[in-house]
Amino acid sequence: MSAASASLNRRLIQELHKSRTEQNPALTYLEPLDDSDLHHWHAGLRGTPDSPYEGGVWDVDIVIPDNYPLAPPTITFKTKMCHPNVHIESGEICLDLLKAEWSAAYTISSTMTAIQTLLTSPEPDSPLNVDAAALLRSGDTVGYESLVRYYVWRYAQKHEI
Amino acid sequence: MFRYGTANIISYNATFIVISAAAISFNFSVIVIPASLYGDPNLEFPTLNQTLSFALEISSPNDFDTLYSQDSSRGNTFKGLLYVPDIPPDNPCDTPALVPRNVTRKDDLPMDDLKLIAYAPLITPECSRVYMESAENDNVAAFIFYGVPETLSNGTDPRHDESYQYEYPVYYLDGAIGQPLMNKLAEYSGNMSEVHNEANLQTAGYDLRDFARIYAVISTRSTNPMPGLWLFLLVVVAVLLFIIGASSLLMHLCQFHYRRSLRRRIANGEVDLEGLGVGRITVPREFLAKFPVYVYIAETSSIQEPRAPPAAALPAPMEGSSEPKAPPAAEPEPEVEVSEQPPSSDLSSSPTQPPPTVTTTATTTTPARTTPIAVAPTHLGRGYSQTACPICLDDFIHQETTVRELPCLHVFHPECIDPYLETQSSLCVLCKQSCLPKGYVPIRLTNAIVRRERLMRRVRERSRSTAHDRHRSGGADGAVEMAESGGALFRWRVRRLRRQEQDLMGREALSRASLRRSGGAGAFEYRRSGTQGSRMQAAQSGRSHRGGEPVEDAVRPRSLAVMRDNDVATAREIRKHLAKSVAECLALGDTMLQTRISKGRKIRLRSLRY
Repeated sequence: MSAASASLNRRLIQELHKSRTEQNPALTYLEPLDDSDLHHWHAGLRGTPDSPYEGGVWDVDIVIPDNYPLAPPTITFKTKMCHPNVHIESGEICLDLLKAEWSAAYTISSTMTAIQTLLTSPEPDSPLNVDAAALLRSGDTVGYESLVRYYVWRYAQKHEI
Repeated sequence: MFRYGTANIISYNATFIVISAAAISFNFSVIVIPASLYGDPNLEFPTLNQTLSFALEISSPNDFDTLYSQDSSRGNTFKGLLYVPDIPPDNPCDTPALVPRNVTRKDDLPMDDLKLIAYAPLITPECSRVYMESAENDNVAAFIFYGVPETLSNGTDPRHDESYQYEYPVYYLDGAIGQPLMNKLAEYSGNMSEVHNEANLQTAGYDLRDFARIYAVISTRSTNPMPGLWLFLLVVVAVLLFIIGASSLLMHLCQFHYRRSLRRRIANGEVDLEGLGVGRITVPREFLAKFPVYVYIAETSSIQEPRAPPAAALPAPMEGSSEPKAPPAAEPEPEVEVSEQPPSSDLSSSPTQPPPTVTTTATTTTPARTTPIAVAPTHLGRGYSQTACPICLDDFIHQETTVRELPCLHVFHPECIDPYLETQSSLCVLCKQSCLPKGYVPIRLTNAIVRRERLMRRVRERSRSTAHDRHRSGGADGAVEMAESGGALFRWRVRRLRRQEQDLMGREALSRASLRRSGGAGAFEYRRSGTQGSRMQAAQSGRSHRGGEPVEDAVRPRSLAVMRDNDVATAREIRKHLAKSVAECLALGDTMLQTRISKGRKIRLRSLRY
């Protein structure tokens, strides 16, 4: 177990090092919450440009399990996020990449990129936010987008850098 | 007239419901009917003491025969007082030789409404008909014939040429028993005072004015224990059970067939097991141990750099650690392999070196000759040049790190990939290609899986055929057709196409990433070596041009390049269809859907760039 945790820490340090040297355009920052605990990270996720999410920055909480590269990290939105596949209260994300489709080759940074991609390609057929999904499903893109814009303006705007 | 008709109908029914009441035993005894008691016919009469009178039990099947049996609604036992039916006195059948004059007749019976059993000799068919017609008017329960010497029956056997059309069953007794019984019947015809053993009876305390008569009990076998209705129900239930059983058997056979064909298709690699969503499939240890493990040999970075300048630019800092190893690798490849000779000898001493035979041969033979051959296959077999393990992100160290190669030719630290394949997934971490051998079926195939697979296949086929249709029917026509068939269906089709595209794009993205992924946001660094790539293409086009060919050819098919190319081609096709559907959306004026689709595409394309 200690060997496993040592290799886990080594990987996390590698990832941290990399995230510091190479800026992920999807993120404003990506680092452990506390330098002493590598298992709990947080990040600022940028809204995708050319989308209703543009301009928003969401705080994201990343909890890394003990068997991390084999099991996906638990990622939740801290800032209120209006998206069909994100729970509006808990910030839980419904993304197959974070569940069955997880692969050990994904890093935290690339996972965050995937989440940014999720913002603009919602899957209204497996919603966590039923209202937003209903808007999308009924084809009311205009309504959906303005709803998203409102949430961005109301909650995610203040992080603008 | 009317009565006759009823009788006919009843007998008609009786012949149709062929339910035999074959006799199993005859019991004759003498009962005493008190002279004073007239009335209740159901009263039980005392049986005369057998030591003082007559009793006969016949149960040997040779002594009797059932000529005609009645339906058993009358009960299984026929009881009644034995008597001889009256026939006209001048009838020749009533011969005193056979039937004594004082035999018990109808008139000799004390009560009219007692149950009767008729008794007569079976002389000729005419005689028995006469007797039976007479008996029918007497309301008998049964008729017993007994055989007579052939001299009296004119040598014919009347037992078989007779059609018994009466309501009562007809039995036959052997003549040897029948004639004495007839004589007994003559004995017990008057009242007690005329009876054969009269004195003894009197001393036994019987009233001489009482009547002693022969009482016959015919037990019949219940060959049909159930009435007709029950039998009918039983037949119906049996038929139903048979139908259920047969259909169940058929169903099971079908399911077995489906399971077997699915197993065959999985074994042939035609079915995407992971796509079935049957839960987590892992790689058993015995397969894992078969994947080759060998010592990592760094790629010749000097060759790659000119070939792939943009890719090399980014990984350069990452390869800092492997920089010292660059000089030997800077030479052309054959020399690289030769230069590996000295270290290979101490490689052999490294503990983690199990399965690959190639390496073990290197340890046993002289390094000078064999090492190039030994290392070359594993080296050449690798389709990609990975510099770091994608799981722990640690760099591989040239000629030092032990790596495990999966069937897709990706390499990992054994300690990183083994737990992943054993506990998490059967797919390669990088390209998501299954690591299970081709013919291996890792799951228990249930009917649910068969059903799901069939459903998925049908959906896939339908979507393919619709895509074909659309392809054929051209843009404008298609749009018109779509407009006619209604927006909802069309939207549904587009959504399905989209999902399919997503699926394919995801796969394509991964495969593309594994082809020429470099730096950027990715956590792992590897690229396809230019020389190797070209060599592979050469091998695909049928030309092989290097030493160690057999091994190479064995390794080549695993390169999957063909499969990947196929995949990309399919994805391209789908994307083409999608573009067309966007055009159709435009034609329909469905701008919202169009923007959605095109946006989805754009984003997905962008995400691929990472």
